[in-house]
Amino acid sequence: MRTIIAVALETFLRLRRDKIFMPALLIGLGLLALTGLASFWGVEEFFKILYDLGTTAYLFTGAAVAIFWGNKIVSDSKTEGSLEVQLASPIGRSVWLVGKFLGLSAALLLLGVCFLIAWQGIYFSYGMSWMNPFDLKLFGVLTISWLFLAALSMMFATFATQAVALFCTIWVFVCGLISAPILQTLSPETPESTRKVVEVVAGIWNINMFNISQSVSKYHLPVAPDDIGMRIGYGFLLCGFFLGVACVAFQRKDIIA
Amino acid sequence: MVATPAILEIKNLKKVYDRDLFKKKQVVVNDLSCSFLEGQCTALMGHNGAGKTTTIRMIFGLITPDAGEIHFRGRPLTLEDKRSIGYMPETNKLPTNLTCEEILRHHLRVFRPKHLKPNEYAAAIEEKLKEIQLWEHRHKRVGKLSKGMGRRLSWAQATIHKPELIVLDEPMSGLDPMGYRLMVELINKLRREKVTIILCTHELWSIEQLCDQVHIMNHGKVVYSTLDTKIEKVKEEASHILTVSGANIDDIKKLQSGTNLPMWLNLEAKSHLTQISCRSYADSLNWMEACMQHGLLIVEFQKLSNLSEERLIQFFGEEKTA
Repeated sequence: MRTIIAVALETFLRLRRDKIFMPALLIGLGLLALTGLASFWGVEEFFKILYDLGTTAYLFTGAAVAIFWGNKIVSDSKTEGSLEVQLASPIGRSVWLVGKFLGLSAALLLLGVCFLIAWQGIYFSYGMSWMNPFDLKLFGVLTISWLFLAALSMMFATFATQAVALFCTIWVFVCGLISAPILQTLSPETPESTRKVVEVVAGIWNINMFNISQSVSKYHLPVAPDDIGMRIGYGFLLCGFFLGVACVAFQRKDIIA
Repeated sequence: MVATPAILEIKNLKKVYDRDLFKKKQVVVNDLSCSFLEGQCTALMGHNGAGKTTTIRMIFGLITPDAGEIHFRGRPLTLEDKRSIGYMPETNKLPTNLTCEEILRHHLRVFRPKHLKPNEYAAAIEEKLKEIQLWEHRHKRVGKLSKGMGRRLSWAQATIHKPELIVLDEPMSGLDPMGYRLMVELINKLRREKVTIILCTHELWSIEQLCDQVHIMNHGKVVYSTLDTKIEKVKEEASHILTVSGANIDDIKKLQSGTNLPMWLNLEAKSHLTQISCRSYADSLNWMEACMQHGLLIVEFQKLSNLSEERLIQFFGEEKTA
């Protein structure tokens, strides 16, 4: 356990100093600020625009950073050779991967906290009070999607080159975004077998299910606590699955820097 | 006399790489067996592609062998055993955006050496950074260090947990004369402390000065080892060659037996010339004087300071027959 913490601390420290951290933070904050302005000037309902744009900005900024960092922490370790030195020390490969993931999660949570502070800033700038608990749930569930995307990116980075891994991760991410909309747009003439396949894919891999603001703002459906718990649980299950595959793939891979 | 036990034993190690899409196989390490004796400095030599680095990576579990065993203190090497092993790779393979101090602290957290409590880490880091003359640069990030400083930091990382066995892969590469001297001093310090060292190097000078044993690798196996002989024998052959005209091998033999001239290391006929390989400069002077006294013409006098190098090239070109 102490080794995992040591690896996680090292990873967190490195990511906090990473060149992408500040630009990602500034872009995220900028997008959230624009969200505030767009909702103020928008013709539609203030909160609908605020939540729709805000959650989209939060999801995409965080997802981009999670995918990039997930790829980077494995690929950079390979290219700079620090992976060789680290695995030559008494660190098991799975321990190394899990430690890296925890460090990355901590860095993403730090980014999320910064965005939440900006979100609260929007509330204050429009003369409102503290954000309500729903906002915390909303961004919490969205943050889970960052984590499993980071795990997905790490998984590909363990057995593919940096460019290939990045390409595959982005492709799978896009699949997760469009699977549910594709299912909704299927015509009644669609063959049953095709419909079944799309249903299974959309059921397993649907990133939109982690954006609960859509349920509220689009369909005016309150989100039950059990439902949130299920989404969080499923997010962690995905993290575990991707990390598990990564550990198995990484276990017997030759480290040739 | 009690024989020195082997701290690390490699038995019938084999690694085959699938090189390309068509699965053309390349045997990188082929039935390699060798031992590294406790408290001794052993050189692992070989030309590029001989399989040294692959062997080292297999020792550390970075590459999975296709066959064979690696034993540490008489039993298969485990993850826990790695706590007693240090590794300094050929190039600086350190995280570029961490400081010297942070790298060593992380290393100690991972190794958790028995001789140190967590609250003593700071003192150990200070001592080590002072030893390698990087204390003033402790807050500098690795990316900002010069290559030589990076080498020294790699050294610190490999030794701060006081390993029983340390693997140094080309530790002198990229060092300026001052850094080189410091590295030699540091290695000698480890030798005095009876730490087992595996030194991968191409530099004969380093081997002569620092190593007790030598394993020479070629085509993935050990083709020469000093474990049954002494390294001085290799050094002894670094000598001079006298090429004379007007005498064949028998004449030279008669000349030697009739006088108290020193024995040659090698006697070889080259066309109408005869080459006398001498052990030392003094021997070659004696031979030169004797040849001149007997009216032999000295065609060439060659100082072979790199005879060992030639011998190594011979090893690299031939397979072990024994």
